[in-house]
Amino acid sequence: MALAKESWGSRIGLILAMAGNAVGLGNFLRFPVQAIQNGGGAFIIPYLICFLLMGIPLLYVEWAMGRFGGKFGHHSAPFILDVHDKRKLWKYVGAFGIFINIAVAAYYCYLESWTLGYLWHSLIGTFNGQSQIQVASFFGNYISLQTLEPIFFWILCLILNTWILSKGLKGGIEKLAKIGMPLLLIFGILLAIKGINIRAGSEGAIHDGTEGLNFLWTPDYGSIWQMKVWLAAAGQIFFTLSVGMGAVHCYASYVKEHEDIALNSQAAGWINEFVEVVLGSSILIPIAIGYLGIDKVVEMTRTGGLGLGFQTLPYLFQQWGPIMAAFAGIMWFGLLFFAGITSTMAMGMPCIGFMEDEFGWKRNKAAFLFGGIIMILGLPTILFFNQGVFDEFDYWAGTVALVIFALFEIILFAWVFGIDKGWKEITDGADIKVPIVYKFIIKWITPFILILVFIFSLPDIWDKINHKENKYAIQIASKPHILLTQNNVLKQNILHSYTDSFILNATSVMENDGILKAEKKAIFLYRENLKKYNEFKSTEFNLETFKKEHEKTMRYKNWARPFLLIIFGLIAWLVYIAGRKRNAIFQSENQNNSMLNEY
Amino acid sequence: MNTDALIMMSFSIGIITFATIYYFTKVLKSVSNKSLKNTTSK
Repeated sequence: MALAKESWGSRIGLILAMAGNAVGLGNFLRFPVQAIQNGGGAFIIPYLICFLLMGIPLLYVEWAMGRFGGKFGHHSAPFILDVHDKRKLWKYVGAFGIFINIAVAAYYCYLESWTLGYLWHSLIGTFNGQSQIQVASFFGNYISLQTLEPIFFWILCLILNTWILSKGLKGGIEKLAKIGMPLLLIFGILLAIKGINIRAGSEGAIHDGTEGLNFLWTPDYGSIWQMKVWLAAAGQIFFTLSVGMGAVHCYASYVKEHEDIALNSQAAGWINEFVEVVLGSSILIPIAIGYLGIDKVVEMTRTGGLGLGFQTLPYLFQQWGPIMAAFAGIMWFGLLFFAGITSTMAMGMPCIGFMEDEFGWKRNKAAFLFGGIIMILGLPTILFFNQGVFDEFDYWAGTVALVIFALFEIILFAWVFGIDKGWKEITDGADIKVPIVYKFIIKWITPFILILVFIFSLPDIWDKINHKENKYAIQIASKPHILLTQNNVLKQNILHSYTDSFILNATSVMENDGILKAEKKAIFLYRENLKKYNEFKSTEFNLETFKKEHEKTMRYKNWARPFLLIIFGLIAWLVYIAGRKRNAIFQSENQNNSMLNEY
Repeated sequence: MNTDALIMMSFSIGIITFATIYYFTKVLKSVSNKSLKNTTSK
């Protein structure tokens, strides 16, 4: 339980490591898809408002709490939160700051290993000459573990993470950030330039790259009045900044006393925004739309950005010729890999910091413990990926827990520790003048937004608990005529002026200015319903097998939840043991002091 | 590109790029000032 000896080697290293923590796969795969699904260019309005009113305040708070905890030699959320108030409760709230990182790293490391695997395949030219279906089925085979290759890359990834973490802040994380972040920016800028410069008719492209930008940025101003768009924006800010996790606290706890945190936090936060909004919007969508057209991209992004990023882009790169395809593949999966690994570094540090501070473990031992835990916890997400265990980890640990932890930490900082003391912490040693309005925002606005986000997420949480999605899938598979009824309703209410043939066969629907936005949405839903109906009615479809698959998924999800709770319970128990150890040492020190005084 | 999309894109990219460069330049200035101070005091 010695006071901090380790600190960051340089300010640039710290900022790049913090930015690397924030920049993740979501910047390139999640943000553009969220923007498309939530109002296009108009999404940036709630997004930036959430960044200013929730993201920036949480960055200030987490950096300040981390540096404050570091003064007392604490480098993990439980005891960083503990020094802010004398009540014992906070250190158990802080257990979230270890739990979230471990649970997220468990599945995130697997995702990261995909990028490593795809990087390798781009390098050796596996995708050369493959059709889009072949590239897509390669991905399907990869995640279904048809070979042991995904496990090999996953273990390689784990070893790499553990090894870098064992090298410490200066020798490991900082070095990686100084190499990885500039490379990520260079790769991102080069791909964005190539993406935007795609010309229709050249190299098999059907649209200009700017058509993709046009589609992504065209604002649907009506969407900003919808609650779901605001929730999506708030969720994206959480994901992108890695706030509410405990990782920022940990990195900031290695900042020396009275050293700036205000400017550093802004620099790191805005670098992340640059990567997400400027680069993230200029790669995936412009390239995909350039070669596939808007209709196809809209259809593919209904299930997220992973499909486009892994199943489609390697095929599209082939259109640029084998050499350029290899370069583009290396750059794309390389930037995703660097985005991933700089984030898992930050997820590893809270666990390592906790074991070093509380149990006196050496860095190497703690790093290997982290690697071992991630391996054990990651296994269910890999082996039962298709049964939804991966998604379950992501939802409970990577989404719900973030909001809960962020809400508690801001209440602790602004209301229990006190906003005046808190403000002093934020501005202590600041190299910029922090706008005084943030004192008000941190005390009132951010907690209020977080409460709103949590309350409005409750229906979704309830649906998840009750497996609404799986139950609905079983219901429509059992009674496929529901889909036809839905289509009839769509036809009567929205699509009455269109013929069946037009609804089913029209191409370039999204580019057709004569079709209203609601009608475009209805056309895609109509097609999807009919596709599902035909699938359920085909002779190959077996209802019993389908039901069993979904019931199996629900069962595995039901097991994943107590599993996560047990992990949280174990961490809370370790925090309790650490607390008792601290008390015992404190009492024996007091006894020694009083004996010395008597003597 | 249509005008609305162009406006939204320029607005967002403009603000974010400006803020990123602004804060990062401040960091670089602060780093160079501090290293200059250290050199002078030696």
